[in-house]
Amino acid sequence: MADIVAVAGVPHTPGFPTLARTDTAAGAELARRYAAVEEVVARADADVLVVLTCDHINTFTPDMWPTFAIATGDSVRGPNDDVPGVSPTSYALDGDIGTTLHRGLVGQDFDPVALRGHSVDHSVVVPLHFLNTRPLPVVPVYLNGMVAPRPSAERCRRLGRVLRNALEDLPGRRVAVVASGSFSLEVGGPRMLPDQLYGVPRPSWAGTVADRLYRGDLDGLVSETTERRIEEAGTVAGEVLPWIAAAEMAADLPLAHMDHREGEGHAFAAWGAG
Amino acid sequence: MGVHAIDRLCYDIAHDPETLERMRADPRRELVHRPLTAAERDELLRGDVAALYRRGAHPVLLVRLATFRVLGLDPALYAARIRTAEPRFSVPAPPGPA
Repeated sequence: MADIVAVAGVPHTPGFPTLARTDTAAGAELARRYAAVEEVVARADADVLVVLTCDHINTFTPDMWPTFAIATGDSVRGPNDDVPGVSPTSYALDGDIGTTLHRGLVGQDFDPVALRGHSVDHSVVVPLHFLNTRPLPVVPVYLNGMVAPRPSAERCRRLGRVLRNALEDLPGRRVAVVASGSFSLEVGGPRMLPDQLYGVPRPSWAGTVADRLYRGDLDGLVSETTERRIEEAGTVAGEVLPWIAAAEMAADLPLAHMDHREGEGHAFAAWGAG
Repeated sequence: MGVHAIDRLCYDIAHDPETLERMRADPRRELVHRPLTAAERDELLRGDVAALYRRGAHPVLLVRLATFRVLGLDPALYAARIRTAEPRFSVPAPPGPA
């Protein structure tokens, strides 16, 4: 059986790669926050990285919108949207693991779209930019956190459990998992800040999510994560759903790092050897 | 079809360079070829993103009208206009104190 050796969670704001490179206190601090998570992932010595994320209607279209999808191909290009300072390039995928996980999901009554060829947006590229420095082959897994009706938090937790169990068919592999996204974030909606294209409508909810993850209270987090609460927390706040799946995949790992600051809509977290 | 056509237009602006070019050159002509109602075309041409949001257009798509600077919009103008709309929810609030 494969081992899940590390699980991480980070935001994927498109401007962060550029900000982290700037010679400013904010840039240096942001780089440190990602590096603290990367350190846990690197120490785990994984050989593949599973990225749990939500597409922002870039990879998929308004005409074809899956609840779940998984990459089963061997490479992918990205970003297919604007990530300042990160040029489009090709990323190696682990098609064998993607195919095994796809089979495991279908066998447990999940029906994800199997992607042989696709491109990825900033929700995959930004976490890879900061965390996949070696780099490892990747398996993107998509959960719909963006368009109602979303899958329930309980179903996303079960997806994480099924993915974890499906790894039993992969002896000897060392798997790291990364959840990508924010807990409270408004993009394009009326709760944007006056001078920005985003806002954080429910920082208190983001604090609650971080607290539940910190305390290992996944039951509590799942029961509180309703469709209404997600929508109140922002137009892309469904990105909490990949975090819930990832936290379930981290069931056998200790929390090594949790960095959430009051007022922010996101967190930087890692499970694994501290 | 209308709301979907608005969403599809916003998607194409971001992912199809030819659509973006046509929207910048002659948006009225581009919109005639899309399955929109007269009211939807009018709201698009006026850059009335609050009205488009109220119709159900997805905000993550709608905001691309601003980032790609079409229909007279830019990020500041988009923000000022969208902030006049009431937030939209797909499910009602649970009963009990707000």
